[in-house]
Amino acid sequence: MKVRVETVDGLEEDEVVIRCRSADSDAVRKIRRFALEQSGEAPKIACWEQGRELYLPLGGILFFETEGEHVYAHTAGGAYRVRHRLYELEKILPPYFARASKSAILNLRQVYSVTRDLPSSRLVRFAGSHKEVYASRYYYRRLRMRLNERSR
Amino acid sequence: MKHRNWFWGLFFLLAAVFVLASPFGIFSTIGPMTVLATVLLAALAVESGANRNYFGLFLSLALIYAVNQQPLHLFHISFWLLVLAAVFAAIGCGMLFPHPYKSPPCGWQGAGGGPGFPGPGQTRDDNNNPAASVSFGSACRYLHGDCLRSARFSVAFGRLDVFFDQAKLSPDGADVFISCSFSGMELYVPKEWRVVDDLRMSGGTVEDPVRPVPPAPDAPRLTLSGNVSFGKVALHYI
Repeated sequence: MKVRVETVDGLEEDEVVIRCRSADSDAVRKIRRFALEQSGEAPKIACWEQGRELYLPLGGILFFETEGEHVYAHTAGGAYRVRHRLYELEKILPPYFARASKSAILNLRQVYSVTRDLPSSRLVRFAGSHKEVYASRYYYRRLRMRLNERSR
Repeated sequence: MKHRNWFWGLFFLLAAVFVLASPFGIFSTIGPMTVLATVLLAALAVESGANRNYFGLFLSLALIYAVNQQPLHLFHISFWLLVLAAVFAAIGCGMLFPHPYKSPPCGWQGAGGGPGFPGPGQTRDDNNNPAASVSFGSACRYLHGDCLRSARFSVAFGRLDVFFDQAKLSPDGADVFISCSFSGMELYVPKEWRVVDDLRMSGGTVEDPVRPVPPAPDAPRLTLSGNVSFGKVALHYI
């Protein structure tokens, strides 16, 4: 991949143009996401609630969870259906989201506490919400590492 | 609550028998603590038997035998053998004479967790008649039904947290059947709902906090029924 920075006199606003063969590649998606984050535009995700299509800012989502055949995005005050599967979300979500179990992806920025419960699981609670999720032992070590990185 | 009255009613009746019999020297060879323990365990055994809780029944009987075998010169059996025999008897009776649960809603064919329950670690996807079963683990269940009619939750040696705040009840209310053995279950219920507690307890507790503002008489009704054996069901109003 070639990286080129051009300085243009008289430009009103910095602009990032990604010239690529395919917009679907992982690298392009990550660069685009990073550029959007820097520009201050909060990334959003399309959700459904009673026939309405909503666009929720990802920062306000506590976690994504599979319930039966559907995936729900949980905010502090509600839960909204998402069209993506969890494995698809894992690919497109910003790096502050991490898998906590087979059925849940957490927003690390919203995690308030992790309680050791039974030997096989850890209870994760979120800031300003009664909602909680169990992290399975399989994913917990990686999750713990990501949480530690966040607090550095 | 009626199950507590059962237990304490039996306890005080047996205590009355003890007080009346004491002057006649019937319990002279048995210490007062042994009699007290026997009375408590007997009440627990009767209550467990009435609820078809075989673990409670046989463990109580085993403990009664253990505390009385020395003063009454009964045939000596080691304590752990008695407990083991009680556990086996409870498992056997549980298999031969399962608890007569209500027929499961919507033709659900349960497997593994008892009639109407999904197998351990499984959930049912019908949003308005959900079910979940947890054994030796922990799980959260968020309900999303727009006309919740019934639900069945089973947890054994684990913990299950159920969140009702995203669900809407059917106009006739919803019936939730709970089986909680040696476990904890936390139910998060909207504070406007009316909760009817029909749970039976055998060595278990139900924690239902008092709400500062009681729900309206015509508020949506959530009825809890089932059995709490050596476990705890806690309600949280949110």
